[in-house]
Amino acid sequence: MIYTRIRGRTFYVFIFFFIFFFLILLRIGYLQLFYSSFLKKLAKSQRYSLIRIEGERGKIYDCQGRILATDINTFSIYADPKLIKDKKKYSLLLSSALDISASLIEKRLNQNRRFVWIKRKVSLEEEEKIERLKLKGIGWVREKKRVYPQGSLAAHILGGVNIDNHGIEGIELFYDTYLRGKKGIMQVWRDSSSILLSSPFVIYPQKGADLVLTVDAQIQYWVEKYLEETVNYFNAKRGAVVVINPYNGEILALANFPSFDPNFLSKTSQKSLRNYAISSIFEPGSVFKIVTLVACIAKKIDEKINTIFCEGGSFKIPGTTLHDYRAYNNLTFEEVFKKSSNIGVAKLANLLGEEVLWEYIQKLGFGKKTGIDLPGEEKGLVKPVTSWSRTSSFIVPIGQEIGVTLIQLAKAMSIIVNGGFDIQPHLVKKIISTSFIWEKKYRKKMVLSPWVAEEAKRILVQVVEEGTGRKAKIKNVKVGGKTGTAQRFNIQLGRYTPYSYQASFVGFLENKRFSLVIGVTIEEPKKSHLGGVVAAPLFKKIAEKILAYKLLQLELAKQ
Amino acid sequence: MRNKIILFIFLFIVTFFYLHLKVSLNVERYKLTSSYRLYNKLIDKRDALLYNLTQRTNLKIINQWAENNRFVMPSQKNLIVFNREEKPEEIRSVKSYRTFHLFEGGEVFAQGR
Repeated sequence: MIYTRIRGRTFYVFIFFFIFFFLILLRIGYLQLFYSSFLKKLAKSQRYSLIRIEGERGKIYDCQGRILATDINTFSIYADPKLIKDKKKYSLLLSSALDISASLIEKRLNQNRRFVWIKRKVSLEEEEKIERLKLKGIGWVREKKRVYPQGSLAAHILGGVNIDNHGIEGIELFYDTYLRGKKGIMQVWRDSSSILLSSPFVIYPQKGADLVLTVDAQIQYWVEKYLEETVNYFNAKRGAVVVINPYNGEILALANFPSFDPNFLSKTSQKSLRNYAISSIFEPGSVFKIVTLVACIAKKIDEKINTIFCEGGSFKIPGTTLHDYRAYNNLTFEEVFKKSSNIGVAKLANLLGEEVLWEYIQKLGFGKKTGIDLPGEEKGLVKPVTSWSRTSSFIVPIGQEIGVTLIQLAKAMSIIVNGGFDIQPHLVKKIISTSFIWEKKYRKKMVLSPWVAEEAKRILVQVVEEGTGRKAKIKNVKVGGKTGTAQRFNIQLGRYTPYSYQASFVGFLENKRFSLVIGVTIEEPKKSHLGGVVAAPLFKKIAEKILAYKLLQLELAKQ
Repeated sequence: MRNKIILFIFLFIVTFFYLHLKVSLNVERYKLTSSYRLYNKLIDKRDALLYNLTQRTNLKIINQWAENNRFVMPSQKNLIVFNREEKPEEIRSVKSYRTFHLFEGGEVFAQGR
């Protein structure tokens, strides 16, 4: 009886286990047959993951190999607010280590999320401080940061990058596709204790190409220093300088003041970011007389006339009256430019005719972009000759009713200095990648006869020796140039104002071993408004320094 | 019976080698991870040193220091240059070596240089 009862119970237990295991087997079979690929993927995703590795951005060097921009490893600190209990204590600790306000950190920690940034791109020292605190729920990831070791030096050339290391200004933007590194991928495995293990399955990131600029950081330093001194001394609104090699278009320095520090680009105002040397259009005033000078020499007007009558300083033209700074009567061709007579130049331009003047405006590169490798270049404002008024043919030759940029003026002067070749101002000499070295070749086209350029150069030297540009004169050095003082047009008032001027000087220095063109413009100087007083001395200061530096360099190279 | 024993030994050896491979692969992974970690730490240190150095020795600071200490650029007249005497070039033996490029499909291609 008992035996029968035990057998009955054993049978039920057997049936129970049989059904239980049968159901499990059924479930396993079902999962294997219908969900196997999905579950395999799920398991794999929990164990393996792919990590993106940032490709390093290319470095930027000056022509002497000094680093102007580079990438460094930094750390971005994040938190998992769900794992943090005492948020007040955490925010105070993090605040003292990272130098940001405790209230801001607390606000971030109180967010209902599993991931919040505390501070991005901090230094190794700060990261070590955080690690020493051993805070639960606080972690870090490595990120590349763009660093400009020379600070604000050459800021308008270099530009800057955003938080994701993408170029947003200057060379960084113009050559972004070259500079930007390619991302790599690494497969990582997670072990039982959630530690990430590297695996040999790596697609290595590619470093971006390095750029070698034509800029010399030492020259750039002097240019920026003297420009700042001049702008401050004359209490001016702003200023810009361009130093260019007239024979190949290499820019040795390009500066604007006020400037900015590209390391803190996000804190910089939009006004300081603007590169006035290439994007600010202004009426050049007397500097533009070089167009008439070149055209007159090319058409041999200088040989045809003995003197020009300058009307005693006042000359009525259609629509207005032209004035000279001083009253002149009869001036020779050379004297018209040496003394910068508006009336004399206007009369010479009329002898040439509108069409010829227009031809030379174009030959010297006005009204079109120079092609400099920087974003935001303006082409200036040049009315086509068909839309010129009766006044235009008198005032365009003296640099009114026309808008140019400083780089255009420097380029025009370069054409005269190099014997008549149109050059392309540029900043990048070489692009060096892991797979290629690209030495950039720039166009060069003859636009003036060499004898025209030589004669124009001779007269421009006279302007500095005896004319309005005397303050740019350097002892025992051949220096030439043209001063310019232009009244600025006030858009709000709709007329020229007597207290707002643009003082400019575009000149060159020639030596047996090298030549340079330096363009200077100062906006709204207060103590004086004359190009010969404000801009010419700045040219001289810069030229003297560069001359000594270049000669020393050449001497050392010879040894 | 004998066949069964042989099969058992064969399976044991295969399983043993398979597991051995798995374990050694994981050991390599740990080693690789620690190498990466060390490499990254060294890069961090290098970058931090580079950053600190350039912050203290940028052109602006060097020029200001030179100006404060009244250093001037020498003119051509008072420039003295010392040249290093050049030694005749040493003759070095050049050993030829071979580099191998592994292409897809496992074909090994040898290139002599």
